[in-house]
Amino acid sequence: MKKNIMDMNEHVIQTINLTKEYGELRAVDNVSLSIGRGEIFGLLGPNGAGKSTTIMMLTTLLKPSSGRAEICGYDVVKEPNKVRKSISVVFQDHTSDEWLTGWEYLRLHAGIYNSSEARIQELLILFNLKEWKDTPIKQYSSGMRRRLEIARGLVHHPEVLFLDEPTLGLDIQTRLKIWSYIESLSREEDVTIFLTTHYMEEADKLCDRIAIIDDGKIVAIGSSEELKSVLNSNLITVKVKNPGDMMQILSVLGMESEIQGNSIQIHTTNAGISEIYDVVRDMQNDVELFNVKKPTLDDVFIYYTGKEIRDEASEHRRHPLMRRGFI
Amino acid sequence: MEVSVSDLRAIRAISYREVIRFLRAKSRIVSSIAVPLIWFCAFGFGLGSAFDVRYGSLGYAEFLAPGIVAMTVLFASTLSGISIIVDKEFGVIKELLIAPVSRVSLVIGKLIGGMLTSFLRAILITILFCVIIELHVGIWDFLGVLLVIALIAIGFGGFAIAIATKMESLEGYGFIVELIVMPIFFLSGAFFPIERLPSWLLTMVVFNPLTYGVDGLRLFMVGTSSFSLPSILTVLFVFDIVVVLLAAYLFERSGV
Repeated sequence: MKKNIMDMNEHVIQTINLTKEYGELRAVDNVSLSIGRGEIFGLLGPNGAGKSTTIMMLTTLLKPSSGRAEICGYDVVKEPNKVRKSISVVFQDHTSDEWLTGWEYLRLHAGIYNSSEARIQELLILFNLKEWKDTPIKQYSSGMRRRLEIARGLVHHPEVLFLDEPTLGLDIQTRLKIWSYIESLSREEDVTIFLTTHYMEEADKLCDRIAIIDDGKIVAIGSSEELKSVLNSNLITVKVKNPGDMMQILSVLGMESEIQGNSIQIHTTNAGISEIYDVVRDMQNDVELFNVKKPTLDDVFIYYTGKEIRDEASEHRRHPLMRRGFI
Repeated sequence: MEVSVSDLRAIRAISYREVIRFLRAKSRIVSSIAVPLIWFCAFGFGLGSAFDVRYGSLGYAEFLAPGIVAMTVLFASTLSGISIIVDKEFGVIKELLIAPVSRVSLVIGKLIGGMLTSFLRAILITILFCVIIELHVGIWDFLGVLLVIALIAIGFGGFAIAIATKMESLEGYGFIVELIVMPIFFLSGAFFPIERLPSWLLTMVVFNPLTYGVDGLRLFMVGTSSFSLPSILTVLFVFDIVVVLLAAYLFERSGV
């Protein structure tokens, strides 16, 4: 369930030409973004595209080489403490102290932010961790640990929650579960969520708007639907008794079609879909199959970056600098 | 540099975490008692009885006891550095760095946590000494012992953190610390009285802050010292302030 109504006039996150250079390498290249209150915003890109570096800059852990960024109206370089008060970050790798119990861990952070124990109770219930609160984090599963870390991020009612690859390395059931928690907290906690991911489904299912980042540059931005409609190319498969008749009608309409096995395939624009549908409807009794394949986010990604996104999670885990979130 | 209420809260929360972690690692508690005891028995009784060493009216074991307490605190202090590196390694530190608290308060939180765990160790050790060599430490003297322990723990804990900010790995840190901590320990008058040392050795001993820590402990535990109490406290206070500021500065700059 995505929210459609949000106050787009109020920009909780705003960046202008945000850039980070490491010597010759431009990890983040002139990124300009405006993110409204209550949005779930996704930064989608392959590893090394600059997602983590962007988060590090937005969360005051890294100084930009040039450009600016404001969170809730505060400059990340000039007013870091005010920014820190308004935000929270859940990092890519587990950062909870495994020697503590869940309760002690939340207590530690509630102590730092001056939050109440009632708030901890509330979060333990929201994230279904109440019965595990006195268990050492060492014994938690990956999914539980991730939930606990997201709960930690919320102890002080932040206005913006940054999630860096929140489901990296989790199995699919756990991933679905984390998604539902993220959706529910976006509804119940009135928090703007900025997440990075290299999972297409994650961006597609979860985010109100997606920015595709490649080599440090934003190459496309919009809702999943908007991004897909830009491609304006759909694949229609029709199976009829007399394919010859059908193809003739299509060629009269000026559409190219081809036979694939015993069905007809047509590449068409968004407007073309209804035209073909009309043809198919007239042939009603002869039609065995009619299928429209809309472009996926994968197609969009390939269209903009010229490459497929690969799951490099295992490779990624091994690089020590990456593990620490420096790249 | 200003310290706000939220900084004080952070200091409390972070030092509390250090204590929990110490209490949870049972092997650390055992080794923190066993190691000083082994040193004490080997040198205090072994060396002391073999050569019949005495210092004034004190037997060698009594002379050595405060030195061993200082050693316990010194070694425990190096753990503050390990704790920073482990936090870096596991990313725990990032959770603290995004909090709206000053970097100094993170360092102070670690130091106070280290100090509290040093107290726990030192109290156990001192009680053991009271039993083994029938040392009688009154309540006021014991508070004096705690004061000196706190000053040693904060100073050398800060020193360890300052080194840790420059280190990426535990191995490298362990190597550097061993290289620095061992001479500090041996050149502190923990093992021998400093009065009759050759002048080149004495120079090194006098510039070693731990010398004053050992001397302060000896004053409160067995009633004798080479320096006066005011000079002991002044040196330790100044050392602590300088080191903590240095650690905070390096920590801030390292951007961990």
